[in-house]
Amino acid sequence: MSVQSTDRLVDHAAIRVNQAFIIGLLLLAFVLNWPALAAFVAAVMLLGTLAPDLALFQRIYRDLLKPRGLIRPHVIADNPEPHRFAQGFGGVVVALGALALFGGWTVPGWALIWLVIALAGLNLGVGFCAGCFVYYQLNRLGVPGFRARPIRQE
Amino acid sequence: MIERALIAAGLLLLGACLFLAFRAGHLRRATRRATAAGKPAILYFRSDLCLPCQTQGRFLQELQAALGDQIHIERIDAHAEREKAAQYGIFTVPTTLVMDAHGAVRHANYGLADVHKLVGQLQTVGVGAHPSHLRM
Repeated sequence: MSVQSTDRLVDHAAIRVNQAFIIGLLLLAFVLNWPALAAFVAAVMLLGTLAPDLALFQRIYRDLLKPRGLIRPHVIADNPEPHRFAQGFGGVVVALGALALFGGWTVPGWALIWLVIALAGLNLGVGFCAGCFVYYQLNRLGVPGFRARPIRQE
Repeated sequence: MIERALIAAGLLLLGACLFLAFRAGHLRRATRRATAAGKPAILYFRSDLCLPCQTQGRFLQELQAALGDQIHIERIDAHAEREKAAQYGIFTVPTTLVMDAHGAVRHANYGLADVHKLVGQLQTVGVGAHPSHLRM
């Protein structure tokens, strides 16, 4: 499939692999009642937001899964910023959930983590990125820092 | 651990059911608003404020070129035509609604829908698609 010539390209296969890891590991953390695993996922998400090249789950896709042909790339014209925002926001929520769990607040802690599971599942299963939606609403409202605008279509 | 696994499975099932109920409601609402085109149609809600809509637009161009008069594709700017988008219950773009020839909305795609997915959905509303003619 041809790809439009633009420097605003995002590999959505990498995003989906990232979400699959997040969902899978957070579910595992819940089943095993293992807050430390949730904290690890939060750390990976936040580090990947601050330094995308260090995003562990996307590195697994890029360095292991894609070269072996296990997952095909799906590169489309898109802004990377909203996806980074979504990951960062999700990372903050998971971090708060993990902190709540370490503090003994079990129900709020797991509720926050399940919120991220649900939203990541919505993105993975249906293609709706809640974080991206929030990003573009903030962009429309002129909130400083949310500068990435979609390129005007011809 | 077994109990927590069952709780997790139950929550996932509940989430899936809620989503399916939401989508079923959305399809009913959209059908009430839609008018039959006399042939299968795709209502494509887009916006200039949406970069993946470029890709969706390209996919739909390929589909139209391959299927010709078998389908009708209507492009609606959700930003410029907010009221129409609201009547169809649109909350994100790109969104594609696949209608049969009688105006019933049978599928809703929230976000980018690739050609393969749209072809499969069009086949359920009676379009004799030929995927081999489409670049994937």
